[in-house]
Amino acid sequence: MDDTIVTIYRKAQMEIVSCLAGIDDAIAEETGFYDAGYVQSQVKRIQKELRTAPAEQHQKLFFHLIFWMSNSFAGLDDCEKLAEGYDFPFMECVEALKEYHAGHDDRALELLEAHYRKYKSVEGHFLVNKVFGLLWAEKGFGQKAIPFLTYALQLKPDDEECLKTLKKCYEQQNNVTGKKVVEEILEMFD
Amino acid sequence: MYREEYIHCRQNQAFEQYRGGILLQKEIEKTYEEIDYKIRRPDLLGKTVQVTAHQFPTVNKLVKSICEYEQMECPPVYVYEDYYYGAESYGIRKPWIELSAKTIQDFSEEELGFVLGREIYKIADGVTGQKTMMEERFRMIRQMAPNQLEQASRISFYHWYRITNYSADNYGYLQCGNIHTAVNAILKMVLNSIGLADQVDIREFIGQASEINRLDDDVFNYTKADEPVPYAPHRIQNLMAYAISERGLRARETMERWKRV
Repeated sequence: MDDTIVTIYRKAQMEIVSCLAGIDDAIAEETGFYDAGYVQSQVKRIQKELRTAPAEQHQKLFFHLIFWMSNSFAGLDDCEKLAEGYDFPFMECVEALKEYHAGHDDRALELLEAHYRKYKSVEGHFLVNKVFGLLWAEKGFGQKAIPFLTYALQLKPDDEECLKTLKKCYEQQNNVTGKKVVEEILEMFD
Repeated sequence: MYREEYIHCRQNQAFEQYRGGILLQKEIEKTYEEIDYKIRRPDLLGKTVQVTAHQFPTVNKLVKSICEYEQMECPPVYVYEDYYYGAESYGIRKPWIELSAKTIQDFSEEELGFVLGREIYKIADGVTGQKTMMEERFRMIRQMAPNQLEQASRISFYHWYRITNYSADNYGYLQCGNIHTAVNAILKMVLNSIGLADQVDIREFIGQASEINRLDDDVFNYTKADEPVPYAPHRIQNLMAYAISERGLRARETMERWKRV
């Protein structure tokens, strides 16, 4: 009983301090790199919110859930199930990711190009930017690939596939500094 | 170099958030300059060795070079004896840097460039002044108000201060000119050992960031928020992301051009 009271008291104290400091979610945003732990935490937060949110907010929350879960190929099937009954344009990207994962690179590029033509960018999404960058690089369009790979690396700076492809693109473009920086990072992984 | 080329994207926002809670700024500054600064001066001069052209010339040369780049006056640097690695800047109107002798002994010249670059950035950008004032403020609040207010004030400050540390890392990296060197310096500082730093597998060490991020509830987040300096795996992730970014590449080219001249 005493332990319970102590636990409640200490938790309440922490909550009061966090509230007074006004930094409830700031700690998560500070380190917003999309490693597995971070993505999992975001998904859990939304799932928790979904349990108590009114029905009119479900569409928005499902979209957020899909957005996070689609940052790994393993989550794509679940994304499709979650999107059933909704009309999210973002599902074009999910479809493109599935095509890419199945080895249908041309179809994936076609779908992503169409999506980017309509919406200009897919902000805050690691995998979409990574795959779009990889596809351009594979087609020999290094210059087009660089901004997408760089963007993806802002979200997941230790992704070796992105780093290796980016290095090749910089080589193609004769970008000496870019190549040197990527090499320095890759050397740390050796 | 423009500040926007290396500061963390959330720094200005965090500062606005924290500045809202600042009270008695002028009074604290006056008390600090008239009392606390004077209390520290004799100890600094009597118990440390000041860096000059003849004492620790490598450190002196590095500080001069970084300050020349920033077009600012060189802060005095004092070397103290300690078992720990460490470099920290203090002061409001007349800032200085304290550096442990063990750091000079065990760090390469490039790694020292990273460590000193961090502190000079903090001085130049007013971070050191705010931190010194905040420490004074905590002392005052502790005597006048409930414990929770001091804790809340500290946590709000730490949020901004952690972010300034990311910016300091970015700046230190630009000064030392190599991401590997910057990461090595961070590892040595955090682990306080060359031997241990050499044993780190960067890939797995960064993996610890994922484990930290997985710890996400009120208690975990409170303890994470109560840290003045970000955790080392997050610092390494931040440095890598910055180095690859468009502005990071631009800033590095600018710095390399300046060093060649």
